[in-house]
Amino acid sequence: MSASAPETDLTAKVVAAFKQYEQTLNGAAETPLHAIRRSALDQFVQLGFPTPRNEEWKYTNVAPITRRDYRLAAQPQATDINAEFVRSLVPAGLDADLLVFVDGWYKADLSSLSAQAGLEIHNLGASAPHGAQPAQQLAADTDGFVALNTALALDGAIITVRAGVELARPILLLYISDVQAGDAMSALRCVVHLEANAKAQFIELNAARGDGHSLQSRVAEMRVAQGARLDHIMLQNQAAQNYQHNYTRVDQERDSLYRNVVAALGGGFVRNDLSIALNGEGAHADMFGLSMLNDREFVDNHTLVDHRVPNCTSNELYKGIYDDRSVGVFNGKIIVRPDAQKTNAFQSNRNVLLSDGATINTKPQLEIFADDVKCSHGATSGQFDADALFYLRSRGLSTEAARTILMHAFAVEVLDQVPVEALRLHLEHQLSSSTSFDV
Amino acid sequence: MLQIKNLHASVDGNEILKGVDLEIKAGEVHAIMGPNGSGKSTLASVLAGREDYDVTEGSITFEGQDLLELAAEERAREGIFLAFQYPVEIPGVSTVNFLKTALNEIRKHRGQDSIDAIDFLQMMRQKMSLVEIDEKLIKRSLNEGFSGGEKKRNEIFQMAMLEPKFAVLDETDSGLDIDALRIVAGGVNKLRSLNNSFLVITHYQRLLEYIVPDYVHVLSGGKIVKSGGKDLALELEEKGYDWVRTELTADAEA
Ligand SMILES: Nc1ncnc2c1ncn2[C@@H]1O[C@H](COP(=O)(O)OP(=O)(O)OP(=O)(O)O)[C@@H](O)[C@H]1O
Ligand SMILES: [Mg+2]
Repeated sequence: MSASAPETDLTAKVVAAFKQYEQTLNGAAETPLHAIRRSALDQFVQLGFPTPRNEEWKYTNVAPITRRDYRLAAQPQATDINAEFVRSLVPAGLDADLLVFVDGWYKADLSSLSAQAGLEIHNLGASAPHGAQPAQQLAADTDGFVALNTALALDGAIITVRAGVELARPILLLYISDVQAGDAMSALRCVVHLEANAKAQFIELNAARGDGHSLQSRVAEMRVAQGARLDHIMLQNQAAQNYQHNYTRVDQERDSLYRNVVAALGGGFVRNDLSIALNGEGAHADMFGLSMLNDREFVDNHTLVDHRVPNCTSNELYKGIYDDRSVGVFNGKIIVRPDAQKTNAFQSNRNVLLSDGATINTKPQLEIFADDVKCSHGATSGQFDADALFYLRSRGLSTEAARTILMHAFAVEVLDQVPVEALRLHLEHQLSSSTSFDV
Repeated sequence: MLQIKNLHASVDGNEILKGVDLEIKAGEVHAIMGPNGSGKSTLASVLAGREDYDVTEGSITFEGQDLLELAAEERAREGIFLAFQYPVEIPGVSTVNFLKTALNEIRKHRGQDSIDAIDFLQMMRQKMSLVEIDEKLIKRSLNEGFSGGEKKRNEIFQMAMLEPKFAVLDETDSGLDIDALRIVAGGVNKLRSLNNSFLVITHYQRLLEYIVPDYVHVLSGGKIVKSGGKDLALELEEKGYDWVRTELTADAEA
């Protein structure tokens, strides 16, 4: 018998939850959506949770997070999470349309929508409109986690921004796990479509109520049509017992712009997969990440940019500061297809290790099949510059203050990319409050 | 104000300073000259508290207290300032950014309240005009892309802001054009008083025409081999360091 045998079989639990869900269907089991879910479940059972033998999960051991005895509900559960708690999670000064999910289920009473013209929002559970279903093709290029999500995400958001519409307010998606009464797992799905020349800002924030363990699975499919612009910000600042897996698939058409900024300031286990396909000429993708970890926190950013057509550009900058025994992973894959001439792809991963126990595993992967391309990548890791530290101390700053200043300076390059002022301030505040020093 | 006695310092096991003796009284300006690699910047670093240097022998006393006991930041708060020969570039941090914190650390140490934003701004304006430094420069990333002269001017600006009791200027004149040299020297002269002292490290007599020293010392091979008045600098410029060396050998043989 293997020593690492799971204490609880999460796979069996997932299957049981699915069965339970099927029993509630009363004949609706014949819908195409259900067929997708069924086959996803089969696929999940076959694949299981990824192991380090899978190249994409080499440095990311999911075994510890799958061992817990999570509650996994096949239907909405009552919760006493109230508006006041929700408000406490929303970054100060942020004026946004708010969609709240508790344990993966949409909570209309906790959400607040201002009915912006040209914005259509449905929740997947209640009113999946025709054509806005989780895509089938996703599963092929991914792993057990995505299959699990496809099978079990019974709720989520389907968001469409109509052609030419520029949203006046960002949309904030708040994912809360209620773990006051024990560990809980949840799955939800987002399907986002920006029609031609639409502009929108999406913000996602993961949170938990209570001290139990949470595991959140979120898959997003985003389509950015011709000339559209989508800013997508992910705020991840959770505690050691909170785990999350986010898979984001983006399809960009001609002259579109997609920008992802992920601020991972805490969490016991965070895996972010970001897969971008540049399908139309003139499309540009920006990817920015900031990880700031301590204790035994873990964040893994995996990006894949697929340059499929000529004249597209992509730019990624991921930075990390790792203290104590925290671990970071960055894996950046760039594919340039034979047709994708005049591609310009830039990738950079910069890390600061504040302690001997901290680790960063970084791996760029370039697969270039066209000849007229500009691609560059670079990765560094080290300590804060000793000369810079001494310089600041020689002016009277404590080592602590000098480090904080350097930390801020290091982080600000990513923070500056956050296009929403209130969020930028929110992040700056979280950054400086991680030490007593005010920058 | 400052007494250095028989100071020996080494880095990575190599002894650089081999018994430096120097006394600087309040209100005095001392100049140190000496060949490349003789240990001038090492002395400056040891005074500022850089941990990479091991003091193996000797002592430094600053206003009656053992300076070697203090960390770099504590020395700064006590009133020691080093204008670096090679100021570091720190992307993402502007001079204004850290200077207010630095100033408040020093004020706190002196039992003074934190400076408020308006007073700070006013003080900055005043010191900026003293060294004729552009506001844009001190709002940019520290020294990043600064010209050699701009870096040095920024060092003197910081000195003016922090009002140290004892400042070491390590080749602040190198890289400065003639106008800048005059401005920087003028800034130093305006800060000169009966209560504070300077140690000016330079290769050129010209700076000492503007900042007239009370004493000039020659550091060679990790030791002060000759001291004199301001005329010594002129003599050195004329005769070169070989002159000091031959003189020394002659003394030794006599
Ligand atoms: N880490 C080190 N290991 C060995 N030798 C070192 C180290 N750091 C400095 N030195 C040596 O110490 C000596 C003194 O250097 P220092 O910078 O103090 O000279 P200096 O008098 O300021 O010269 P300059 O006029 O060129 O500025 C030099 O020979 C230098 O090479
Ligand atoms: Mg030197």
